[in-house]
Amino acid sequence: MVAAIEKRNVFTVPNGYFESLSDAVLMNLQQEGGTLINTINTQPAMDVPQGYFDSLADSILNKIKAQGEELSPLLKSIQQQNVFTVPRGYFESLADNILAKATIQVDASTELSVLSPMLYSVQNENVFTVPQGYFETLSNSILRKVEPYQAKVVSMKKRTTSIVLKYAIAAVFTGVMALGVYKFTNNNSSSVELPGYVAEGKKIKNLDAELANISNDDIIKYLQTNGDNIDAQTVASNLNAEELPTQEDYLTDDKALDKYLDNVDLNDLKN
Amino acid sequence: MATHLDDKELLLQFAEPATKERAFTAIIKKYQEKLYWHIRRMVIEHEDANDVLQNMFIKVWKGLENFREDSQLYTWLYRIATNESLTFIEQQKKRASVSLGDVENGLSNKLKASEHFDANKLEWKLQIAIQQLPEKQRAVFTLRYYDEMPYEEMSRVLETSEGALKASYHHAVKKIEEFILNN
Repeated sequence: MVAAIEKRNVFTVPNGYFESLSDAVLMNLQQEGGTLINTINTQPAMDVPQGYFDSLADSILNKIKAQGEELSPLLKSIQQQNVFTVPRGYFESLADNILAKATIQVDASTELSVLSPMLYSVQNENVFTVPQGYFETLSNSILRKVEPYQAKVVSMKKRTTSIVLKYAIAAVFTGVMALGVYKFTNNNSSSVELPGYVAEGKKIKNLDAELANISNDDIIKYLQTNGDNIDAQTVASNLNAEELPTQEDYLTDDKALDKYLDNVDLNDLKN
Repeated sequence: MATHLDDKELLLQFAEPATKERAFTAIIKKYQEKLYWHIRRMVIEHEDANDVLQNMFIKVWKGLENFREDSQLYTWLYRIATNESLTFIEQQKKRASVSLGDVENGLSNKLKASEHFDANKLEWKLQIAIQQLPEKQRAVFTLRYYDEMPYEEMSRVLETSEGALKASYHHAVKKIEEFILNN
């Protein structure tokens, strides 16, 4: 019901009331008395003597001193006497001394002895263990990771020997070395034909794995026994190096030798 | 103890292709133990320390030619080792997907699983206490306490002001002392 009532001002105000209100109030105040009001609009702003604020601090201080003198002439008489002494040259060297202390590097041991005598006194016994020989072989392990091919040839002599021997064995089983042996030895009693070596090699499944089971010493003995009479130059001339697996092939492919043998045609090896 | 070449000489040799590998090997041999122990104290287990150390040196191999020599080689190596250790710890946290506190307990558990662990011995308590510290503070403590590294050098390793490092170390010492006295 209240909300439905129209918001209309029922009161009236004389014309120009608000415009003349301030003047009317002032006039009433003046008429009622009080010199303060009378001076507000009529008197100009108060003047301050020239230089008043510049000398204010000194004048207050002088008044305080004057009061002190009045309070204790005795105190006034003794306050200028300094009873403390300062070492000779103290102020001249003060700046340098402070700078030196500010920049000083305390060694760790001294620092700890001050910070924690308990920790300082702890026996620095190493509780961790390291596998034997770890540091001797570490540099090699890392070198292998950054320069794999060079590192394997340079540092791991045993592995290098194995790779070279596998290469040599490949040459034997492909029949090229056998060709040299067959042609240039005086062993006329040999009844094994040239392709026989290769045929035998091709029968062995997973030749790389089989070779891995033969010790390096046995391989070396075999080559020493069967390679003495070989004319190296003649063998090399019969060897087609481009067809043989490369050294890198052996490093990256465990089946390098098997794959090569699969591609050898026995007919090509017959005289 | 083997005599090692001067760092300047090693860097010159590393810059030459013919002597690069020899110089790299010499750098490893010269600094391997110091760096290993710094890393080991952070990551606890030998296998982890070995991984971090090797990764760190692989980065050295790749980055050494760009080393500007505006700081000591030693400082530069320590910076890489510290960063690699901190990265490794962060990776472990993510893999474990556990809270910060649990991972720190994980490192403490690794300590407790160590072969000769003895909870009554002060040196073991010290290690457990060190693992309670946040990893960066742990790095500050181990560098100062074990390696006695000057703050000036440490500020280059950890890229933090000397004042902050000093404060961090002082707090670390107090925390560790308190832990040992209460355990």
